[in-house]
Amino acid sequence: MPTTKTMTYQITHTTLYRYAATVPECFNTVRLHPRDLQYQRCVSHELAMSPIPPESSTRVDPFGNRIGNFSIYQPHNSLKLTASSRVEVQPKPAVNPTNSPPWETIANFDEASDLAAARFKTESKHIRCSDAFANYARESFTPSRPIVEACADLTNRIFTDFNFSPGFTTVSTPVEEVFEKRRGVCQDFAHFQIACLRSLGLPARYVSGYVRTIPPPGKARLVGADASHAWISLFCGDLGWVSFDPTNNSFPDTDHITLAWGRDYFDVCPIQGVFIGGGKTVMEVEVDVLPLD
Amino acid sequence: MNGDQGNHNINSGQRQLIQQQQQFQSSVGGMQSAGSSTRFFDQYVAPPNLYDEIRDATGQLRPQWLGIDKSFGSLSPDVFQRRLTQIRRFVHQNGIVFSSYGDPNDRKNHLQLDPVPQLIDAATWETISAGLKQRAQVYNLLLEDLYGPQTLLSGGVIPPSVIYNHPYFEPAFEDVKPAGDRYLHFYAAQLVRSPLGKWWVVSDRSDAPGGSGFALENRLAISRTFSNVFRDSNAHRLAGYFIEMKSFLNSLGSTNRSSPHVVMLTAGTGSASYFEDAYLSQYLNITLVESPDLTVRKNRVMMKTLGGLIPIDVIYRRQHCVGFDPLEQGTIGPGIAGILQVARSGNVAISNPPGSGIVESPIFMTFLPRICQALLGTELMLPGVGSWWGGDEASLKLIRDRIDELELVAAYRTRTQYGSKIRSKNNTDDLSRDEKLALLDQAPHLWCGQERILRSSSSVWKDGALTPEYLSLRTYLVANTHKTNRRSTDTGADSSADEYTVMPGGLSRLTDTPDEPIRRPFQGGGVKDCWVLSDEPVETVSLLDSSRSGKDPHRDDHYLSSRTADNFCWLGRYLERCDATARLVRAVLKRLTGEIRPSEVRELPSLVRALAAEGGVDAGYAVPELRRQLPGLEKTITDCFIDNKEPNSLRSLVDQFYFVGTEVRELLSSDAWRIIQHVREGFLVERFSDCDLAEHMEITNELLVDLAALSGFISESMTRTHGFRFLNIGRRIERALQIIRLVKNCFLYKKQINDELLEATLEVADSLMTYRSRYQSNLDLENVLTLMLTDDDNPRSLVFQLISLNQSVQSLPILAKTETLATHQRLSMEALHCARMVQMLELCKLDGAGRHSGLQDLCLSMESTLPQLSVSISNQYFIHSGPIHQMNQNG
Repeated sequence: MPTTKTMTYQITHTTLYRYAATVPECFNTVRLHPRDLQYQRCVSHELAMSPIPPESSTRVDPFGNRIGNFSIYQPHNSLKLTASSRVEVQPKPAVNPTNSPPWETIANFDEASDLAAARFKTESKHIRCSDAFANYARESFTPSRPIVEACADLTNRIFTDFNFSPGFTTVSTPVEEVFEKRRGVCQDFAHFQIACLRSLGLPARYVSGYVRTIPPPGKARLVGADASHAWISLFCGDLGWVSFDPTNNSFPDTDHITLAWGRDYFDVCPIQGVFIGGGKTVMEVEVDVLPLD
Repeated sequence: MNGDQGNHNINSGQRQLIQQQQQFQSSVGGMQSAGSSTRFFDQYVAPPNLYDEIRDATGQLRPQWLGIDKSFGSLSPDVFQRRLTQIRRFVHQNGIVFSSYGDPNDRKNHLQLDPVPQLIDAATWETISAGLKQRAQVYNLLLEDLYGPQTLLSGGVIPPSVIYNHPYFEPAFEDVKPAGDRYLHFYAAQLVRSPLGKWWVVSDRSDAPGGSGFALENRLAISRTFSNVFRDSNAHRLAGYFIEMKSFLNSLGSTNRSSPHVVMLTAGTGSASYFEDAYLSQYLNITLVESPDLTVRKNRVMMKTLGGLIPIDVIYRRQHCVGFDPLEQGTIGPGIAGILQVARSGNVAISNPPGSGIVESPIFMTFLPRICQALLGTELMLPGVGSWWGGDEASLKLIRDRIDELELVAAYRTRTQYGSKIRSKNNTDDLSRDEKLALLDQAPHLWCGQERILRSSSSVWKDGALTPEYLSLRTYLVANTHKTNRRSTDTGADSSADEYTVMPGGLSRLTDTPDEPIRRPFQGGGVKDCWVLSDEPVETVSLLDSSRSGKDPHRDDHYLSSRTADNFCWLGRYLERCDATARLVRAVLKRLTGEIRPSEVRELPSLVRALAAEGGVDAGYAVPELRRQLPGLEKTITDCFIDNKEPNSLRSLVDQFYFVGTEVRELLSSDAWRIIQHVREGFLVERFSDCDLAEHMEITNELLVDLAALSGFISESMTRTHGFRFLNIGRRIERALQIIRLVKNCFLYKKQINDELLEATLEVADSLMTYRSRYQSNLDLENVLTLMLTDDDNPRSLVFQLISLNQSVQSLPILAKTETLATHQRLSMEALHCARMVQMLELCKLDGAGRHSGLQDLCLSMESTLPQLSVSISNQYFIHSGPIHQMNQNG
């Protein structure tokens, strides 16, 4: 647990699309507005767009994520989105991993009693359950092992067994392939871990957000060098949802800022959009997570 | 989970029974013609051990059949045969097909409409109809619960995973308030009648149920052919259902406007149901659109039309919901980006509401009895066929034990490639026992086992005799306009009575075996009209007038989508291109089959050259040196003719012509469509096998007559709307270009132009008769060119085309007012001016190099101006959207 005090962050998330050919119209859905949670408060949020869209609106999706919609009809050759949010994150009370219910009690929980959790037990667009995933998970999920302890162990194994290698996968790389090649980025590890957990019958969700990067000792923090991040949350009965970060082998606490959650990436992807024309597209993303005190 | 297994059990002994049926079938061939008997059904023997629709268990005719038995029996064999031909022709001409253009095997599944309808008596229908209304109500309440409080899940009626595993239960649909506060507007159910005479539902449709258009077409065909029998039968009319349907759709938009703009969204010409959609939209007088015709602006759904974007209030959805909104569903391919957000704001009514399709999956059939109890506190009046879900342990065991008897069906009905391959497979009937068991082992929760019910038998007229086939009935419901959606504790019958209207009839489908798999996709085949008989005189609601020759001109102009305008233009172009090529082909064939040896026909090389220039024959035939190396033209010309790999062969042109015809079908009158159909029929590949040149010439003659009929139809019967103008523009541009090319290929490169060539050119240009009557003199180039190019009065002259073209171009809507002429206006005037300014002597003169340089200049000028004009019109009016791309981010 690296920090124990409440953190305040100024987060700037800039996305720039450059199109080789003119785009006459585009429609977009963004999930860039951090959630308000028990231990997290979004103090302010602003989304700046260029060109300025003639129409925009906001709503809350069925998972409680805040969605922004906008469309542009004037011909454009680039689109820039800048989301600026100020977020306070409080430390969560520590969970004692050994003092959590045996994982089988969760796998066998009465689905009808908690539909919100049951929704995250099943396969989803990007996640298929299989014996292979279950078998990998069972090395950690030994009979009657406390669920948090077991999942922390699984997190650790993924962190150890898998190579972090950007550029190797895309958003649509199947989880099976990630498992086979043991390589990927944060979202692949999150998807893989969810597939393992759901293959055991456990409700698990995909969380998108940001993580603060701590510069190496003696080095200054690099502005804009951060990135979007993803981790998972596991339903642990009376303990509620407990988060695990397989990319960093940690329990997300005040270093992690939650944007949105869903069944997998496709429920929460930060920017979703369709456009006509455009030709070859180049995308540049810059994320800056600035701790304010 | 033990599903509703009802009282109908099939034991292994029924296998045997099926075999008996089959033996029986093969033994009843070769009966006499019906006309030889005064009683129509005398020769009909019902197969054993099934419920027969016509004869009861003792072999007596059921009472409702007495009328038909007598009236059909009184027809002489000749008359009866004529009626059959009439039906076949009707089916044919209306293009009642269940297929799409572009089938690689050139296969269109014309429905085989049986002359004898299915008859359902009043009492039986009352039971069915009450049961159907109840089912629709249950499904509506089920959807309301699933997209709302989910009390059925929390209350333990349906395991939550049944819903959360559903590939189409999408978050995007969850917060879309349904139009008219109802989730289910259109519902269809497939029914069969078991050997005990009990009706069972074998499948439900809640997404975008199709087939009601076929039911309507069948009714029109049968009631017209046997109008007296129909009138005497006291059968309910179908029109009331369609009137209710239209009024319901209108009511959905009335909150926005007093006269809402309703469109029918079809999956397009590539989809199997396109013909039906086109037919129905014409019948209902609702604009037919495809996804690319619609876009979203200012939180409204807009249609792209010639006059710009116009708002749409109601969408009658005939397309399933996969990829409906590419923005929220993350799909690529056609769709309407942003439409779900508009629906959320209540600014467009979508019918059926998006997401209504989830409950048509077979898995719900296993839970429906419980759902009905939970929601209505009563039993299902019309039960679904016994079915069991593999996700339940006890049921899984039962399915495994009875794997040979049960039909194994995918628990979730899927439409496109979603998830694994297994899921997209809705029909497992051709799998072996082991393969089925393997599927069950792999993912038991994705499969259901369903009872096979032996269907009832009825007669079908085949090869001059009545033989039995087996029936299923697709029925249709539409929500009623006034909404009384309350959860009632009364009996289901009372509370659902006024919520839905049932079409009194339906689409009766015939199968060869009584145990045909339920989920085999409908691919045409045998069908019957279905008459629901009344005990009292029926109200004769008049059918909407479906025979009108065109649409209300104001409406048409206003709502003509730019895509349709573009298609009209292309229809005109292909019409003329077919005509010109066919005339050339005919001229060549005539000379190849004449008395003079082809090698001695002086004008033949020029004609062949012209045909080669159009792509009608191999270009090598136009070059004397190459021609000698090629096989004789008389041997290859017929292949060139039907080669559909060559884009300009006559057959390819006919295909293209037919294709654009289907694209605007709903805006063409039925007569015009009939001609287009006929053109196509004349060119089906089968006709060309073993054809000699003379027969080819005959086919070409037929084609030219059809095309002339269509041209005549266009000029005499088509309202002068923008649709007509675009069609005319297409025709005139093409015909002008064809004249220019003919002149160029026949005269331009010639030093000596002999009389035979002049005559042949006039023949191809369809101006020979005019020439003879006008000049009565020897042929000379000047007169020929005058007639072909500058004669105002010759409908085949260049100037005539350009005058007509200019008229149409100048009457197109002006999108942006400017001081100067728009490009397309200028170009069309320029072309006309250029042709008018021609000095005939200059054209006929040879220059110093011995060429017709004046003529060449004219050709060059036309060949540059006219294509420019075409492009400019396209830029101005045909706002096409390109393919949709997804942005995606890798975190």
